[in-house]
Formats: sequence, structure tokens, C-alpha cells
Amino acid sequence: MFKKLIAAALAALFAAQVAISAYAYDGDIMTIADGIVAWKTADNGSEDMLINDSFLEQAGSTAGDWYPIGLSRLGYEDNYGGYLAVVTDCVEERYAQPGKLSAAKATEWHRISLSVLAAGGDPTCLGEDENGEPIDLIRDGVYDRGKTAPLGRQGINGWIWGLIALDSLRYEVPEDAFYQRDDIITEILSRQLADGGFALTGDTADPDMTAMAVQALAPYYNSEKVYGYSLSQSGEEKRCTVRECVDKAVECLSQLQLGTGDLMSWGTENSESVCQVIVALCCLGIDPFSDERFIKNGNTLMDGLMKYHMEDGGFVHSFVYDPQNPQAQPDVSNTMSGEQALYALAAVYRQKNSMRTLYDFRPEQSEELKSHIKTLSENIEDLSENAGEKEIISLLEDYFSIEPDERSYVYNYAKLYDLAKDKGIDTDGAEKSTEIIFAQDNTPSAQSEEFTEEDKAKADSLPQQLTGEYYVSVTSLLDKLENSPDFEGKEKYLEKLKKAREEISRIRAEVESINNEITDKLYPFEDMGLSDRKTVENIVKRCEKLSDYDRGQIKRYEDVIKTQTKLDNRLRGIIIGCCLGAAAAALAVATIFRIRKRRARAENEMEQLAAMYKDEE
Amino acid sequence: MKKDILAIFAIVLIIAVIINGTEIQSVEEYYLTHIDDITPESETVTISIRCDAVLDNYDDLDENLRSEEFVPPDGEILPPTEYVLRDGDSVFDILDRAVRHDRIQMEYQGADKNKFGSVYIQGINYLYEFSCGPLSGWLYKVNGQFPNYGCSEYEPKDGDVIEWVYTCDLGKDAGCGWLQGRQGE
Amino acid sequence: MKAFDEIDPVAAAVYFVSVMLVGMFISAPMIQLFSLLGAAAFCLIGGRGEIKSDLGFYIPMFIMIALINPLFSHNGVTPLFFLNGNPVTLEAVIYGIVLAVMMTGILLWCRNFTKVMTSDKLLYIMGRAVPALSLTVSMALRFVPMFKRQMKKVSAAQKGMGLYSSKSYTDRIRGALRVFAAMVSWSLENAMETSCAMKARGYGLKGRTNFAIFRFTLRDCIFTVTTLLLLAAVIGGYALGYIDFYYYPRISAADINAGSAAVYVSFAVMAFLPFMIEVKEALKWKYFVSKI
Repeated sequence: MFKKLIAAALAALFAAQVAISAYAYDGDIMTIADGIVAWKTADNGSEDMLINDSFLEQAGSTAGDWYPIGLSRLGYEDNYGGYLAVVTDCVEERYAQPGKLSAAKATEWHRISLSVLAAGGDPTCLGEDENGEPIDLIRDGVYDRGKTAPLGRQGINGWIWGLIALDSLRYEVPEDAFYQRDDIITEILSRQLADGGFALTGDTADPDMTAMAVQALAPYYNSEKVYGYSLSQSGEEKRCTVRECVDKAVECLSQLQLGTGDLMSWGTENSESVCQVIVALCCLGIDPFSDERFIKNGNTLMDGLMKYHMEDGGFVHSFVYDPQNPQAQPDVSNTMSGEQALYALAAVYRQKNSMRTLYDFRPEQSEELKSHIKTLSENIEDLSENAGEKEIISLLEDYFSIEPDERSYVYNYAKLYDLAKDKGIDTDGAEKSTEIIFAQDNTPSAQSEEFTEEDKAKADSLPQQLTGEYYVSVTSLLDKLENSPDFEGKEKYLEKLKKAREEISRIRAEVESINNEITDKLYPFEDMGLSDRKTVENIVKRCEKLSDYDRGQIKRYEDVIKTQTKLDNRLRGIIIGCCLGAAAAALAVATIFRIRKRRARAENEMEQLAAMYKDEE
Repeated sequence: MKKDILAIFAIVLIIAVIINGTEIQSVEEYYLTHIDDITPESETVTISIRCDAVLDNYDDLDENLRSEEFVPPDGEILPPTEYVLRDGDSVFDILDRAVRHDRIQMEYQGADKNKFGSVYIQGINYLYEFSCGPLSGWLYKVNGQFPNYGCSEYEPKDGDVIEWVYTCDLGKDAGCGWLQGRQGE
Repeated sequence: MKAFDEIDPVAAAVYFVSVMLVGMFISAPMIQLFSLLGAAAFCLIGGRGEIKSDLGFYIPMFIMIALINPLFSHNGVTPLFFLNGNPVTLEAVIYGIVLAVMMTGILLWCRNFTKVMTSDKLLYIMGRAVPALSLTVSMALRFVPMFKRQMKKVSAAQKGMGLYSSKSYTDRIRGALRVFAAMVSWSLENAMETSCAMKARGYGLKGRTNFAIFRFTLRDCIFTVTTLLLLAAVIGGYALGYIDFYYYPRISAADINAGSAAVYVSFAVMAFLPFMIEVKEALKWKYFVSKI
């Protein structure tokens, strides 16, 4: 009986385990992604779209830019137009400041470039700067970044993300640019550590940084170009192709994977490192869930990632509390974990559907090119060690008939190249003699959306009294209108929206100026004297003119009100005190007067009496 | 003559009021300026206010207080609530903040006005000393112990549990022994 | 005109003591109101005192008492405003007003008492029972006005002699001291003389008769019985809790029922008794006059 029970329990346990693993292995990527989107949507307090007004408040920051990328790369419908409009405005505003997007962090440009691309915008022509020139994030943030500050000022991630941004649409670097593409590649390569990995600081590989480096270098994996550089760690002179370095880095990542399938960064097992490795492998065309280098104890990277899946659909950063990262609680879904899991899933999804890699924003390959690459890859896979020279040359010709920028999608070209080298075949010659047949038109189609009736209704329903709350909708409507084909009444709408936009800008400027004044003059609300009363009163008066929504944007408005009340009370106390004092004085005077009068009367009587007796004398 | 004396008396009263301060606040202003934001910081103490003893001695209670408004049926005036402990906070400071935050009435005698040199709590939620028999009044416990200090002298530590309890029998009914010895003071 | 003066001192004393007892110890607002109104009406109809000047004293005093209470008592559930962080409550204000009514009422009753109960009446009441005490009391009562009169005389005499008549303060103080010294010896001497004189007349001896102009008539009897009955009704009603009233922490709702109404009416009649007697007499007088 007892044995039976144990057997049953064990069976149940196995069944449960099998069920869990099955989910992790084959779990529908879109189901998990749906879960993240649903969690984040609810987290934003939105009902339909993830990108709602509250989310858009964060546009242009880490917390606000990665979700659009993940969403768009997974093919979700969402409010990209609104995002693009707000982020454009945000970039324009920040460009007016001295450090522009950031004085030190070039990655601000890179992240925004990617999210703008994801939202369907053009990072090389995003709004206008103060001089009316179009803003080019790729120029200012990547190849000419060195003119203001070194790309790598913040560390290796400046170079890595710069390269990723530059390759997002395979942007061409002008000849007079500060950095050429190869400069950036060399900078990254020179920072490889002895163990093959990369790290922000220190001598040991950090999985996140290593994975990011692989993501950046992946497009050059098939390149035979040999880069000469000296390692920044040891000063050793090296000559390597990108492929050699990437292979070492991938090996290093494999070494870093833990038995549970996930990885450890900065001493903490966490969900983000797994995400980065998944993305890196996808960029190289490696299936992250079947490659045996990344299966430890039967646990794949997916198992490692699903470890952090929460019941509400989101992902947790880590189950270990990190006192230096108090925002990431060990039991609550985390925004950053969610966004990274989302785009890691996007990378996998895109790989499974033979789409472009996560950070390659060029239009999808033509079906013709896709099938050509597919056949070529299969042929290379089937190639045996003793393949004939002719067979290899034919495959090489097939390869070189693809446009150079598309060749990176032939993920197993390395095998072909090695065989060709073994056979002493001149690959360069093969390349030169082959005509490019499979060219891809990568010019993005100029999109002009129509200004729909719905949009018109939206524009019409704007209230007379505008508030900062309408910033997002007005900005996105105006953007849409400006890019829309002409229609009757466009001018009218344009004028109205422009006016609204101006009004809202004025309100936002007012809010900011009030905030500045509060920080300058009142903060930290201690030792407020009566001399501050005018300032406080002035601020309150200005705040009262604002709408409820805008007043909510005033920082520490409650403290201002408190201070005003306190000061009013103090003044009132002084006035009342003075009045009471005056009353007391008046009373005292009256009393003294009365006493005097009485005394005078008594004296008077005495004198009269004396006068009477005088007569008698 | 009578009027002069009255006038002098009035003058003295006005001057006393002026010296004491004339800051007049409306009820809203008072609560507005005295509510402190409770921010999640590490150091906190838990405070509760209970008057169970009154329920056991309901017959001794002043008739005007025999209402659920003043004596909650479960004896709980303030459920255990966490408050931020600031540097140098005494038990009295915590109580003061708590009652202001929860708008509970409280009257006390300042430290300068009694022989113990410490703030003396006269009444909380309209339950005053002697409201429930001649041996009744407010006492406080910290982590279950009755400290032999005035409440403005005792500085609690992080995580302490402060309980204010009403006694009808000089602390005996609340489990406090030492107070009987001080009866003569 | 002063009908109440004619009432037997014992009856009047019983009346005043009863009214003041109730007025001092029962703080129900209606009782206090009637006490004050009754005393004020008695004052007015009696034509006693200079009304205008009295108002100038009683009204400020009333206001002051009413204001002092909320400054010191912070009990009560309805804060009106906060003074230096302490609540000034509606309950405390109302209780202050009631206190002021009580104080004013008692003061007015005292006034009426001293006006009605002249020293001969007091002596009459107490002379037989405690002669020594009553003598002392009457002497003490006499002493203050006499002392004042004598002091004026002495100082006038001093001034008449030209002593210390300059306006300088030191002179005045020295003059006052001199007068005071004279007064001390005079008062001692005077007391001795009085007591010797009384002794010589056999005051306090057994079998001594004394004449009094007062007679305890039927009318006095009815008056006293009425007073005592009303007092019994008020105290009985109070003991039964008909007129329980609380100010703190929340003012109890005025509970008007047959019992409390009876108590209030009883006390109202009691407080206005002298007034009614005076009015009745005045009407009678007018009636007689009209007949002439």
C-alpha cells in the first residue's frame, strides 16, 4: 500500500516535471509574449494598448523605449504613431540642451534610434533642432559622436550599441566621418578579454556585455577581413577576423551558462542575462534552444528564462534581493526584465519565421532571396568533407550572387569557407567573378498615412481649455496630419492643432518653470520665513491657473500649499497678536484715564470744599 | 473700582494670550499642516491604542462617555500601525504623529507643567484620566514592558511595538506592577 | 414698592439659600438661564442699583468668563479652530457661556441678597441661636463701611492740618501710612468699645429678650412652603436624572419630556417668585391709587 502511494507520488512528480519542461521547451513564444504585454499593459493602467499616455510619459528613457522595440519586432499592433510623435518631441526638446540627449551616454542616441526605427520612424531625420536642421541620431550618436565626446566614454557598451544602431539599416558612413565602421569594430574587438568574453570593467567576462558584443559583431561573422589591433587588457598585438573573436565569445558564453540554464551577472542569477544570450545566438543564426553548447543538465536557455516567469505574465529580475538595485524586488514583475524577455522572444520568433534578426530593421527579404538562402544553407549543411572542388565553387558562386549586405544571413558560410580554404580555392576570385543576382531594395517605402475621420473627430473633440494631458494626443495628431496627404480643411486642422500644440508647450513650460522655482527657492521647505510668503503666494496663484492635471505635475505642490498655510497662519497670528495688543493698550489707557478722572474729581471736590471754608474765614 | 479691576484682569488675560502665541488655524489648515507623509524608510515602530479595561469596567465609566463613539466595542482606538521613526523621536512624538494622522483627539500636559518633567497624556479619544474610576488613566508599553519613564523621555528603537492602554486600576489590570508603589507620589 | 423687603427674614433667607444652591450646583443650561433671568428681573423690578453702570460691569465679565474656559479646556468633539496647536471646541465655548451665565446669575443673587438681607435682618435670624457669632458678623459687616468713613475723616483732618498735602508720591505714601497707623489704633479701640458697650447692656445673657419688627405671617408661611416644595421638586427631578446634561465630550441632546419640563417649570417659578410678588404688589398699588 505504502509503496503504491510512493509510486503514485513519484509518478505525479514526474508528470509535473515533464509538463513543466514541455512548456519551457516548446511553449508557444507568442503565448509568453502575450503574457508580458498583458502584464505591462495592466501595469501602465491601460485597457487596450500597451503604449498609452501614461507609458508615453517615459518615452525617450530606458523604461519607455524598449517595449515599442519588442512589440514592433513581434508584430503587435500598438500606438506606434503616438510613441513616435512623443519621442520626436522629446528628442527635439533635449537637443536644445547643452548635452543634447546626454553628455556622457552615447547609448541614449542608439536606443532611441532603434526604438524610432521600430515605431516606423527615421532616426536620420527626426524632427528639427534649434537651427531648423533635421536631427540625425545616427550621425550625432554614432559616426560623428566623436566630435562631441568619444563614443566609448561610458565604456564598451557605447561602441557596441553604436555599431548595432549603425547596422540597424546598414547605414553608410560618410568618408569624412569621425569614426569609420571598421574603427568601431576594431574598438570592440580590442576589448575582448582573455577568456573570450567582454565586460564593462574587470578581467572576467560579463554575460550581458559578451552577448551584446556578439549581437553587434554578428553582421560581420561571414567577413574575411582581418583586423589588426592591440588588446586593451594585455596590450598584445592581434590580427583576427570577426569570426574568430565571435566564436571565442560564444564559447565563453557557453562556459558561463549555469546548470539551471540561466547565467549570473555581477554575482546575481538573473533573467536579463539569459535574454541577452538568446538574442546574441539568434543574431548568429544559432537555435538557442537546441544548440548543445547551451544545454546544461538538460536545461536550455528557455528553461533558464522561464525560471523567472511570474504568475502575472511578467518576469522578475532575480530571486535574490540586491541592495544596490532596490527597485528590482525579488518577488515582483520588473519592467526591465519584461522588456528584455519581450525582445528576446522577438528574436526567437523572428528566427523561427526566417525573418530579419532583431536589430536588423531593413525591410524583410524577398521570398526569392529567402528561398535562395535557405537552399544554399541546406546545401552547405549537406556538404561533406570530401566534396569536390566544383561543388564548392558552385556553392561559393551561389553565395557571392547574394548582395554583400545580405550575406550575413547565410549563417553556415563559415563551413563552406573552411572547406574552400582546405581545397585551396580562391574565394576572393570567386567573389569577383560572380555577378550579384540577389539584390534587395532596401529603401524604406515612403509612408503617408491618411488623416482619418476618427483623427478629425479627435482633433475636434479637443477641449477649449487645453491641459498638458493632451500633449501626447495633440503631438501625435499633428505629426500624422503633417505627413498625411492633402484633404479639404487640412489647413484648418493644421492651424488648430498647431495652436493647441503651442498652448500645451506654454503650459508645459509654465509647469517646468514653476517646478524650477520650487526647487530653487523653496526646497526643502524648511525655515520658511514671512519673506518667502510672496514667492509662495505667487507660485500658488500660478498653480491655481493650471488645470487639475497640470497641477498634478507640479512637484511637491502639497508642500507648497502647506507652506502657504503655515505662513498665512503665522501672519494671521501676528496680526491677531497686534490687534489684541492694541486692545490691551486701549483698555489700559481707558482704565488709567478713568482713575485719573476720578482722582481729579475728588481733588476738585476738596478744592470746592476749601473754597467754601475760605469764604467763612 | 470694580470695573478697573475687571479691566486690569482683562489686560492680564490678553497679555497672557499674546505671550502664549496667537496662531489661529482652521481645522482643515491644522490637519493639512500637521499631516506628515509616511515614506517607506527603513526605521519604523508600530503603535496601537487600546482601551479594553474600560469595557471590563463599563459601570465606572462616566455616563457621558458611554457610547461606541468614545469606547469602540472591540476596545481598539488605533489598530497597530507602522510609523516612521525619526532621529530622536520619543514615544510621545510617535503618539502625537499617529493621533494627528488618524485625527484622534488627544490632550496632554506639557513637560514644563508637571512635576515629572515629562509630557503627561491626559486623554485620548475623549477618554481622560479618571474617566473610568479614580484609578484610571493612560499607560504605555514598549514590546510588552511598561517603561518607568515619561513618554517624552523614552526613545524607542527600530521595530519596537508601542501600545497605549487605558487602565482602570493603576495599571494592575494591564499587567503593570510598579505604578502602585508610586501611588503616594 | 419693595414688597419682598417685607417678607420675614427667615423666609427670605430660606428662599435665597435654595435658589443659590440650585443655581450653583446644577449646570443644566435651562436652570442657569432661569437663574440668571430671575435674578436680573428681581434686580430690575426692585429698582436696585444703577442699571447702566452695572451692565458695564456684568457684560464684560460675562464675556471674559465665557472666553477663558475654551482657552484652557480642549475637550470636546467639535473643534472650531486651533490655537497654537490646541483645539478650541464648540463644547468648551458653550460650557464657558453656561459658566458665565452661572457666575453672573450667582453674583446677581448675591447682590439681591445683600440688598434684601440688611444687617438687622441677619442679626434677627442668627441673634437668638448664636449671639456671639451674629454680633461678630454684624460688626464685621459694619466694619468695612465704617472704616472707610473714618479713614476719609482722618485723612481730611490730616490735610486740614496741612500735612502731606503736596502732590509728590513719597509725600502721599507717607501721608497714607500715617492715616493707616491712626486707623489701626482706632479700629482696635472701636472694637473694644463696642464689645464693652454690648456687654454692659447684657447682650448674650440668658433670658434676654430682643425686639424685632418682623412677624412670621401666614403669607411668609405660604411663601416658605412654596419655596421648599419647588426646591424639593427641582432636587428630586435632578436626583432622578430628568435634567442630566453633559457638555463633554459631546453636548447631550436637550431631552424635553414631562419630567424635565416639570423640573424646569418648577425652577422657573422659583426663580421668578420675588419678581411675581413685586409685580403683584405694584399692580395692587396701582389699583389702589386709581381708586383714590
